[in-house]
Amino acid sequence: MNRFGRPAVCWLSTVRFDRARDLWGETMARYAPFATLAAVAALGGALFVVNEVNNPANVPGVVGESPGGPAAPPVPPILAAPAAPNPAPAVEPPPAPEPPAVAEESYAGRTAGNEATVAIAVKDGRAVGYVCDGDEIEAWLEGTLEGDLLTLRGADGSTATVTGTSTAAATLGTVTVGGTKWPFSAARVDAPAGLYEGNASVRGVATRVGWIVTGDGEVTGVANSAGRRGPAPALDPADPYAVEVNGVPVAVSVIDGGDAVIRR
Amino acid sequence: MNVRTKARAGWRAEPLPEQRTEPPTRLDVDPHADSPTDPGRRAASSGPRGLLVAAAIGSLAAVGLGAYGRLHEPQFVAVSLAGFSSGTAVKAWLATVAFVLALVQMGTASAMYRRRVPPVVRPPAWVPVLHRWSGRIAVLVTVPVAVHCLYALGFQGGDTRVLLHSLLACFFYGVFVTKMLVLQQARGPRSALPLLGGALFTAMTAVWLSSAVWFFTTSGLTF
Repeated sequence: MNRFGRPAVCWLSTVRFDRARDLWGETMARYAPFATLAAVAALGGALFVVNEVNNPANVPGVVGESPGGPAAPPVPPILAAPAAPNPAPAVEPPPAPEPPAVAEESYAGRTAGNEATVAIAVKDGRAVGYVCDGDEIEAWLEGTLEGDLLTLRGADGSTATVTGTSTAAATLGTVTVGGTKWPFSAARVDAPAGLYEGNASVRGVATRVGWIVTGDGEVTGVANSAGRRGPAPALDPADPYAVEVNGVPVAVSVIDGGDAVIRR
Repeated sequence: MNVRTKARAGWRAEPLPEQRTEPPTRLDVDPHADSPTDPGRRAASSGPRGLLVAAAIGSLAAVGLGAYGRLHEPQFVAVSLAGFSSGTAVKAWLATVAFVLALVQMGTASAMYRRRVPPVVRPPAWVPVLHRWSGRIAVLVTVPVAVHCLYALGFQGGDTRVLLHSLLACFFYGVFVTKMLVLQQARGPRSALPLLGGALFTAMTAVWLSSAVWFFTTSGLTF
């Protein structure tokens, strides 16, 4: 407040804003709420376009589907052609399995509420998965990747399933373990992040460990000693082959989509 | 008529005599002043038709956002800001900025409405200016967050937190559209603006609690 009983800010703004307003005219001032709406819509639309342009799934050469967003930019012709309405497949005889959208990739992520960690590895249309909560829930799964559709099932007698879609960048879907269903997202990861399996015989008891190393370096794992599950021994992503359980070295291997993880 | 006179007129304790006698026309009111309705000028309120139209358009916006988020395939990837560890961290911080600005909105709005409840206190002239600009910045700050949510993740109902977050965020933008349209109208029910503003603040808080606060409690205060 100055000695005229009026805030200095107010005095400044009166002088400046009135000048500006006279220049802008009453129209701008009158339609300010519309202008705000338009600015929000324009910013949102621009960000959608930026996302579409930068989305690896939309880059020609990388397999993926272009989503028809409201502000979709011109789709590259390579992708536009198959996206056009094509009645031909409907009359075709039973279609052969679609070629996998991704040749070989590893994904790691979490369920939406961080209840469990999920790792997926795909290789030439075959896929394996591992879900665990770092405490006592875990499931190994195997399945297929047809097109971008991922379908995984646990061992016979288990109800664990994973369904989702895989692109070069991520796998997104739903995991069901022990009757509970969670949505999950798993980003593509590079070594040392990924899925690890460890085996050891501790005092005659076969112990199997699964670890998931997510892209941020966090390790979640569960150890299964003849059916009794508990938190896994620590795994250092920088040196994953140095794990020990009760002084017994654990044989650790990196799991890719071609490995068999369900014991029969 | 000078714009400045009109802007000031909104803050007079008593309306100008000529404004009280003349039926209020659209040009007599400075709609973007966000000011509480002046009793003298809005006495001849034209009923809730404009409000209903605004609410209908706002509802369409909310449902449209939800439907887009639900129907399109989540891409998981989206552009992020440099300097942050992940897209989620960016979103959490932007949402926090928006929430702080929403608090400013709440404070300035209650100062602006205090003149209607005795004892009448007229807020300084910078209060409505601050209200308008903090609101504009707040909603613009939420846009990258919302685009990331819609584009990368979509509308999801996997668990209660995610479902509530998705629903309330769509509701938030619906109310925002409605409020902007109501502000644009010269006449309307007097309680519309504070109700819409209150709904915006409530939705903003709930959306922030169900996303940024959840993120900070599970992942720590990461940048």
